[in-house]
Amino acid sequence: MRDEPEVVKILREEERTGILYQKSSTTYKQLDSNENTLDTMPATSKDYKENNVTASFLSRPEQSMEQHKSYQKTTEEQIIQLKKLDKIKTNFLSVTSHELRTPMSVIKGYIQMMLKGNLGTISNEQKKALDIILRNSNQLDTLIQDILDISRLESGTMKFIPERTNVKNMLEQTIEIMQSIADKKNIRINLNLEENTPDLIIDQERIKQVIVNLLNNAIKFSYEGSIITVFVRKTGDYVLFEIQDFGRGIPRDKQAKIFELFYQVDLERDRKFGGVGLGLAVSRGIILAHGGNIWVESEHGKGSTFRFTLPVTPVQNLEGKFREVDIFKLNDTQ
Amino acid sequence: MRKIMIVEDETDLREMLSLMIRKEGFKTLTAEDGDDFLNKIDDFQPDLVTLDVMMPGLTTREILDKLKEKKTKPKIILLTVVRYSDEEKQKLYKMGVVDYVTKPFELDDLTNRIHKYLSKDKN
Repeated sequence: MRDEPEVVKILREEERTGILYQKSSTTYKQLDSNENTLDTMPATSKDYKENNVTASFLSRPEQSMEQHKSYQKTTEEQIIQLKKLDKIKTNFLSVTSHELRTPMSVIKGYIQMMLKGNLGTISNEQKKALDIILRNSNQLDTLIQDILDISRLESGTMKFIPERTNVKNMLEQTIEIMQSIADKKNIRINLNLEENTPDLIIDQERIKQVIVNLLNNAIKFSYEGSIITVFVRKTGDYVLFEIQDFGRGIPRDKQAKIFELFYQVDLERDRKFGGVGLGLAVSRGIILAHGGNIWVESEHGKGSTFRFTLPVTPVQNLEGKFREVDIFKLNDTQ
Repeated sequence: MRKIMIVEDETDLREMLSLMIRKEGFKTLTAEDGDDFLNKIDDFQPDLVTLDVMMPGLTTREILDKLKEKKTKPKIILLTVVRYSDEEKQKLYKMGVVDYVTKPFELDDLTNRIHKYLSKDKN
């Protein structure tokens, strides 16, 4: 039995008594038969996380070998079953997202043609209705895109294409697109870029995706007529990007959580703003894969500054690195 | 009038693209897969082709290979859900591909590219 899970190995080697079970994603607890805690140990080994064993496991010296083996078998079967289910879920997300995107292209295509007047003159009222349909279609499209990205993040199949990138050009292009959205709230997006910012070897489309996401959030939570500033400067071996807004801000205790999947600071209010809490998790995965870091500093009611870094010397093997990023583990975020 | 062929297996998307490109002032013909495209190309003689990369039947590579045997040498824009590395792009460029757009694409993005590649011809 060379392939037995790490939990079983430890139990066998150390002949621990009692029930060992996973308390949370970070610790294991060992109990005696009366459920008194004998020991708590950190689940630091990679195997713990991969196996994600939630089953309790009994291993007392007086137990027969048969019993021991039968428990071991159950655990192994459960692990295989869990992995199988996980794969089905990821495939399901991937396939459905692809299938959702084709109809979205058709819907958006016809709306855009109508808005351009390609299919005949439209009235102001019709134009207004079509604008709303298009805006909502775009929202759905972003959601589908995020779900697809999450499934790629989880399965480690996101493709990265690193290329030499002029940071100033990249930001100017991105800000130009985002300014048209900001205009609707009379918000001005400024760029403050230090002259000696070096070119970076990055997946430009993916980094743009992060910036678009952060700017979208900044616009969403900013007050009408305010200013958003993008600061960029070299600091040590990294280039630091800062996106500063003067919006409603994020309470201190929630600042780390916002990078978690499906997390929304204020459910009631965020419903109104749209979004399901996928964007920041995706952004975080992309930045970590590039060898950078992402975090937020914010004062409730005064605004937020999202910061991320990208290394001047690019990481080797972006895709390999990316597979190591665990989007559910947040300890490595500052 | 410039001629464009639309190769796409999804009926609604194919019709939408065809209509959109006709509205831009081009003559269009549609094909629903690689075989259909290769059968029609020499009769229609398009200047440009929009080619979907995920269709049942022939793969994109097979289509581009078989295209070499045809008289007509159109410019090809790929409609794709995947992105290409520089190396892959160079390979594709050698096979007649001039550009690619990633789905879901914006209409203007595709039509701007079509205009760009067809107006270059005039010079």
